[in-house]
Amino acid sequence: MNMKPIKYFLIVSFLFSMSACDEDLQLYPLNQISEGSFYNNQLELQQAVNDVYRQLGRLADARSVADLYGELYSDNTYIAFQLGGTPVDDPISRHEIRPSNDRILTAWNNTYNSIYICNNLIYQLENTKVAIDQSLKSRWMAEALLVRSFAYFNLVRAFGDIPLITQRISPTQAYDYLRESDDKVYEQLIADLTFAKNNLPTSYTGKDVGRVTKYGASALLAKVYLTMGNKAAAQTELEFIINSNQFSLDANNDGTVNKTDYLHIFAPGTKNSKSSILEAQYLAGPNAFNSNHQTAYAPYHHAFHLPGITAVFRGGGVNSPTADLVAEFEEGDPRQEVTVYPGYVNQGTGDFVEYPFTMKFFDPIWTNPGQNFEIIRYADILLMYAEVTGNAQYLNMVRARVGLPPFGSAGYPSNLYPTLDLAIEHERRVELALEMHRFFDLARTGRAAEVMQGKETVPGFSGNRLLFPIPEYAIDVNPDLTQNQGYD
Amino acid sequence: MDIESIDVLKDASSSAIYGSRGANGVILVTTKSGKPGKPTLSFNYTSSVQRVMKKVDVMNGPEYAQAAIDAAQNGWIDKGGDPNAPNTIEARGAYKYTWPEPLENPSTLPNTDWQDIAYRVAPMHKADLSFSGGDERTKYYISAGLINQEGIVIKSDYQKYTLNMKADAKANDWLNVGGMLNVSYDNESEPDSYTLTGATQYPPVYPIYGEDGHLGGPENLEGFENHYGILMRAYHGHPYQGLNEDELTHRLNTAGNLFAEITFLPGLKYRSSFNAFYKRNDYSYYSPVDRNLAVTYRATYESEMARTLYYTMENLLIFNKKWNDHQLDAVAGYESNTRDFYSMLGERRDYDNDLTRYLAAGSTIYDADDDASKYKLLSILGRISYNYKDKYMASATFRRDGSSRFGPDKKWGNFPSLSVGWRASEEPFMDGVELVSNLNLRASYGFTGNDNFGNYRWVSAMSQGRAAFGTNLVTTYYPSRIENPDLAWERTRVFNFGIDVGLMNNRVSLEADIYKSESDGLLLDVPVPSTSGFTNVFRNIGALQTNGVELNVTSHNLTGALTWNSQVTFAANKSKITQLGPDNAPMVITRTNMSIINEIGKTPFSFYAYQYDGVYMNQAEIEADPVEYPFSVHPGHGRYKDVNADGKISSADRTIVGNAQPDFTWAFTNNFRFSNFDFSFMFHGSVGGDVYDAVTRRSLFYHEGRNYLGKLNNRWRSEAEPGDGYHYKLSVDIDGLEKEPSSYWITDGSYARLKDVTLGYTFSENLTDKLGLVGIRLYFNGTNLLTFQNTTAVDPENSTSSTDPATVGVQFSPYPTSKVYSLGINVNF
Repeated sequence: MNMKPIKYFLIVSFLFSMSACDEDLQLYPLNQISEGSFYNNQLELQQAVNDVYRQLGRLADARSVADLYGELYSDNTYIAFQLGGTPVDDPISRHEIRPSNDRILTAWNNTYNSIYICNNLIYQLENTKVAIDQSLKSRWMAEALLVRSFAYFNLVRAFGDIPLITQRISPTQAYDYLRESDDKVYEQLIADLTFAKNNLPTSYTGKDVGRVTKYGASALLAKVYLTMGNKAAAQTELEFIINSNQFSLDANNDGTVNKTDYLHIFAPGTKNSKSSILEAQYLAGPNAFNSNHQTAYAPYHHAFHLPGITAVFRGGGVNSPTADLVAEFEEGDPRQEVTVYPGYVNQGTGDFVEYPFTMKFFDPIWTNPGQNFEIIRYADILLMYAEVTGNAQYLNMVRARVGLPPFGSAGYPSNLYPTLDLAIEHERRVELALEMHRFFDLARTGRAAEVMQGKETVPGFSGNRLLFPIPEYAIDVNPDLTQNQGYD
Repeated sequence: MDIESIDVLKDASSSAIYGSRGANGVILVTTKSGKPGKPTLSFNYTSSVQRVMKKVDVMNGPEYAQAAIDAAQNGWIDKGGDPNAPNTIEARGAYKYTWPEPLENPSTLPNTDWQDIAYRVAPMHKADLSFSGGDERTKYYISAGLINQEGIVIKSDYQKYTLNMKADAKANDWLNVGGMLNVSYDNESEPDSYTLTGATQYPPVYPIYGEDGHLGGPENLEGFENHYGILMRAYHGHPYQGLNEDELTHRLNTAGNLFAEITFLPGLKYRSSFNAFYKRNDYSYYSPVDRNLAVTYRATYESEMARTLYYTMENLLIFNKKWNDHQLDAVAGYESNTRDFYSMLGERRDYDNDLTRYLAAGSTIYDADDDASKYKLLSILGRISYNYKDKYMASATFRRDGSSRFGPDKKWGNFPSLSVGWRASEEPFMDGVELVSNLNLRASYGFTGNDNFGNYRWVSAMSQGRAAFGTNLVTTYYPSRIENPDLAWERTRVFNFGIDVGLMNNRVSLEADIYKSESDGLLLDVPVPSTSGFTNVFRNIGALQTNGVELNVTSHNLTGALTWNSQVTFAANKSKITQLGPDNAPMVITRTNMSIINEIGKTPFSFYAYQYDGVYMNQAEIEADPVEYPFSVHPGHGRYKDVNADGKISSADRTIVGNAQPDFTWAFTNNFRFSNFDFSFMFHGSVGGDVYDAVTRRSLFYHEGRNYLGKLNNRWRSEAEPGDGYHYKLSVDIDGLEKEPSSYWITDGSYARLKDVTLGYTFSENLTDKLGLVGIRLYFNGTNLLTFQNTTAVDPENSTSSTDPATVGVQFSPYPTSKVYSLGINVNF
């Protein structure tokens, strides 16, 4: 048999196979979308817009900038015990932060990641070729701008001057964004929140309830003005909210205002109550959108269990309420019992373990909790209004709801809180404890150094550390960033 | 052993033909083939005993008890507490400043050596059988093997079964065909990770079993009731707590090859081969309800299956021509590699009991996920070599590789190389030089490329998230990775000069190489300002230069009845970064609690930290030191160097405190043969690299009463007991720079190890002939018998478990290295 033809056939097939094909090398991820192939239609844009709510959840979650600065840095909370690695929470609580603190670095990184996601979304909306109704597009922009404003508002209060990035940038461009003066940040906040206020609806219906509204933007704007010391502008915003009659202290909407309304806010499953103006949305259960408050704030102790639940879990051990906070509550204040639980029974030994924790974030689905978090609620609005107007009536509305005597009356502890300013400071502390307000309030009113002096958990706190350090690693990566005073 | 030979190709020219796969040199493994003639049957059996090479030196019970009390008391005093305050929660406010009463009388407590509990002396058996033979036209080789190994850590074991077949045939005068098929199947059971850390960190004062019959720990030890909430519990440390777990991996590897070689003109051949490799990994992890503790746990079971199909198509034209004193060889061809990966995992939770360890029995479906990826590498290659009288040699190679991993316009890279050789000893003028039997000079220059990183790293990605509005759950999309279309080949250019010298009829031979390599387009996960939204971008960032020398001397010391050969190898290289990013700014990476810096002119991945300078022995020393600290310093705390001499300790005082790169490595091998005995031993070692001792750091920082390393017995305790001046005092509150990366954790990684000793006896031919055999050899082998080292890190030879260059030189709690004693027999029929 003549095998020659086969031989040459094989050689020809070899020559064909030589044609290396470049297209074979153009491989893309199989189980993930690349960014270039997204944002093609209204549904995809909507899904990208929805992500700013995931960001709002991250920005209001445990170990966020707002949490670390608002609560952990304050006299409300302390670290009873934590283990493992380099301690990062305890130094924040004790005002002995080193610039290398990893918790602050992570919060900083996460916040800027949220800002990036908002900026990218704004860029996509500005440049999209998809035909979208202009008012819807403006609303989406406003939603992104409100969330970005919340991020910057927390950053500017906790770190002072900060890199201010208002557009989508590349990592290479990021080296050029150095710390801007806080004035400039506040200017931006006012512009953005004003846009948000003008372009958001007053309310939503159906499956959209929980999105940010005109009043949410206005409430944040009021707080911005108050922080800047512009009481008149703050008053205008607060009156816009109060006069809308959309909100009330009657959180459970049963027609009466009493302590059950306060408890309702912190009841598991309460979502977007009558008292809620700006609220971070979470959802309990596996594969949902869980929050970390309950897990992070639960005692760092293996025998810990929630009231009424026998399953034990060891919590994160951050933000344990201090004895100083407990002492701030007046006799018979019903807010104390949900704010501070003194401890729990060790089911193994039957002993009571004294290890205080808060029940403000209680969710019986403890493996995947998802209680919403009211970033700004109506009591806060009323207390801010009392502050800007000097009218004790609004303070007393908050007190009346929990059955406490009004400021100025005989039953009021005026020996402790002789002035209206001090009464408001006191009321804000007990009403809003563990809701990420305390240290922001003290820094805003200039009272931080004075109040923090002599608190047992804060040895040697001096006024030059009112701000957090810029994370050392951020400076390592970009040495042109400067450090705050008091940190080396 | 089915291996015929192993060749190491180091210079760029010889490895260039292997392209990107040869970036770090090439190890060519040739498997055995049959040989024409009488069929051969060979049988090997080895029985081994393995034990832990070196136990970690940790504190015993009484030492630990004292250390635990010191840590609580020091924390309390430095916080401003009264040293004489009673040891009660009422007096001291926090449990961490108090200690369990029984620690004051450690003789009443157990003194358990947990390493003895976690480790064991374990047997290993290996057997293999091979059968080979053939004639002038056909050759075959078949082998089968098995390994049955118990691990030196409890609950770890390993079995492996292999089957190999190889055959080739000359079909006719122009066609050669052949192929092979290798199949292996193995089973591995892994120990619980807490067993490895617990062996050295679980406190020695706990009993193996408590009075309640459960595993011993603070939860069932009298006097520890008040503290057990804050102490390391049996769940996190007792080596037995994971015994009821299952962590199993089953792997099936199949490799096949088929080739055909056609000679269609004299000297011109065409060779086509197809290789396929199929790997299937089944991994499962069962975390049980019952861990022999007082409480039960929420059981979980996770099962993952992954398959990889990797196939290569290679087509080569091969030309060989020899005329007079000339020889010309040339190869041209094309190669295509494809890797296809798919994995799937499922997880269920909430098992009622531990009886059924399958997904089916779990009541909650927790996870179901998969992953897929594809990789392609295409190459065009060519090589031409010329040889005149074995005296002058030259070759040129060209290879063009395209990898799917790079940016759309950056897929292809060119990797040429050249080499020349001159065998001077063949020249007439060398004829009179009797001493020199061989003198060969070599030089080569060439390029290799690196695409050894994950797929799709240049592509941007949208990830899926979730958000809620009230009780309405929605899907969200967000950008999670930024695009980098400029991602391109990392190329290394190597210049190599070598000399081979043989003296006294090659009785002594020397091979020496010096080389200089320069890599550019270094691929790294580069930190970027997080204000961009991202913390890292994978990109080509810089250039690296390495200068090195390698020496290899072989000497036949004795050649009579007693033969003795020695071989010495020596290798040294120094790398430094020559370019970094657009502006040459230093790059700091924080990992594993030790920062890493890449800086121009410095060794890559140097340790970057504060410079530790011993202990402040007393208050007077603190006051005498003009340097200011940004926190309060007490006697017994560490002293740090004010590197920039600005009078205060600040972030600017961090500096390079070491690197993992050794100054040189060496090996010394000796082989003896006398009569029927053979004996060999091999020492090797490394001098000058640093090891970051992450294990010590853990024992100090996880201050939940973990056990401490024995060297901390030399710590500062008081002015009267100042210790060795290096180890600062213990405290439950780690303060100041003690909690930051510093040179305190850096140790010298130099070591010398007796790696291998073998003594063999080959039976005389008389005896084997009578038995009808070809040969019998009995042997004893010992591995890792002796080590000399400075570092307290347990094994400087295996100082990293990760391929991440930023963790090189970091010692965690690895699976311990074993010392192995083996007896073996090798029979040929």
